[in-house]
Amino acid sequence: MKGQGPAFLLLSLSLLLYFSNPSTLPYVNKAYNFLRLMVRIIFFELKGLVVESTRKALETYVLLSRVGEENRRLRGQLEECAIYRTQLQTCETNLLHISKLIELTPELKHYPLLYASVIAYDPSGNDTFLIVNRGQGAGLKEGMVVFHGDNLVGILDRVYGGSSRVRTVFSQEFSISALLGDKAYIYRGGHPYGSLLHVNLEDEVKVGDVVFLRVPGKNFPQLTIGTVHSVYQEGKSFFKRVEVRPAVDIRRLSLCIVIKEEL
Amino acid sequence: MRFYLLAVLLAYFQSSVLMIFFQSFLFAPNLLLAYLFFELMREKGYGLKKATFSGLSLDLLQDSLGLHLFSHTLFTMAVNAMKSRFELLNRSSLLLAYVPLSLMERLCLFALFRLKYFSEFKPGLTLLGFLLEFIFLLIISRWYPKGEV
Repeated sequence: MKGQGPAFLLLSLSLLLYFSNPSTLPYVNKAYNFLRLMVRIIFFELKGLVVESTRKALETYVLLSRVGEENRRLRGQLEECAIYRTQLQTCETNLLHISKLIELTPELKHYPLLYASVIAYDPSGNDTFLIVNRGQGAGLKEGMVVFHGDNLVGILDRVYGGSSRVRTVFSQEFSISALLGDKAYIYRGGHPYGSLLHVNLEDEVKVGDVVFLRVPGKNFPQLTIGTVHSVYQEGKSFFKRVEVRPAVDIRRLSLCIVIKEEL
Repeated sequence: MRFYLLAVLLAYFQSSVLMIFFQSFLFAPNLLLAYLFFELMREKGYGLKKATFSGLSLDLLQDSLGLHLFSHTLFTMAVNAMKSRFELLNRSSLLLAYVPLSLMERLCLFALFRLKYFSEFKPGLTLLGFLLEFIFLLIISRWYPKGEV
């Protein structure tokens, strides 16, 4: 044990560093960001480039190693997608045509997407956050939307060098504008059910109604937040209590997609 | 000085290349740990500076402030405890001694990570990562106990 004092001190300090997240503290955060800025070009930008090139090389190898069976499966899917795309283009053309008639000018924009793998989940069991393996190196920023299939997963709330934290639709700290029928509400996350805020008593909301993400001023894909699980009145309140069951299953998620556009 | 330069290069390689293949640093081979072990076994001092530097390099590059620092410090303490009791005279004994220590370090890292986040344990990937780490040590241990890397 003799002479091991500094080692024990270092052990305690490292545990403290790990569990206290000092980089989120206001003053430390500034110093940490300054340090990162100093070594950004040498370390993180170059690291980002190396990581992306390696990932592409690995993906190419995996694709080539089972290219035969993958090709057959994908060709079928591609045919389906081609039909949907044609239908979609017809819809877009019709939409533009109708919008000209009623003097509206909708902007149709295709946002860049990025695939990310989930590397860690919330240990509390409440599914409030996810850690994904893409960060500043891949051009991610806080506030970007994360989804899987056509379901909303959450929003990036912390972006680190090579990873990011996603605040999910199950988190009570998560709130976003939502669309139910033709009305806009605020969706607040929760586990196991989130809720819609300020739903008037006279608003028609039924169990099973689908709640979508609403992004005013942007032409985002219509992502599903969840379905209405229960509707009831609380005391003499002006508003109904509407509980929403999120559509995404966080625990089965291994891959998600980030729309590289801030809300 | 050579150790610090090589440590940065290894940390960089681990964080930007190996981590992609192994999905997470929990399963990726920790070549830096093997190199740290090799250096600790060759020198007479306590080696805390080297452990701190290697742990911090990995922490900075893998966004895990404190986690690798802890595991590398603990690993160094275990290596020093072993050095004070046994004398590893040849390459085989060095390799044999590395196995339990490295597995203990991996276990610690995973346990600490699981205290803060949830992540699935993948025994196949862990074993593959450990094997690669072992092969790396096998290669560099050619210069043990004398000579230069």
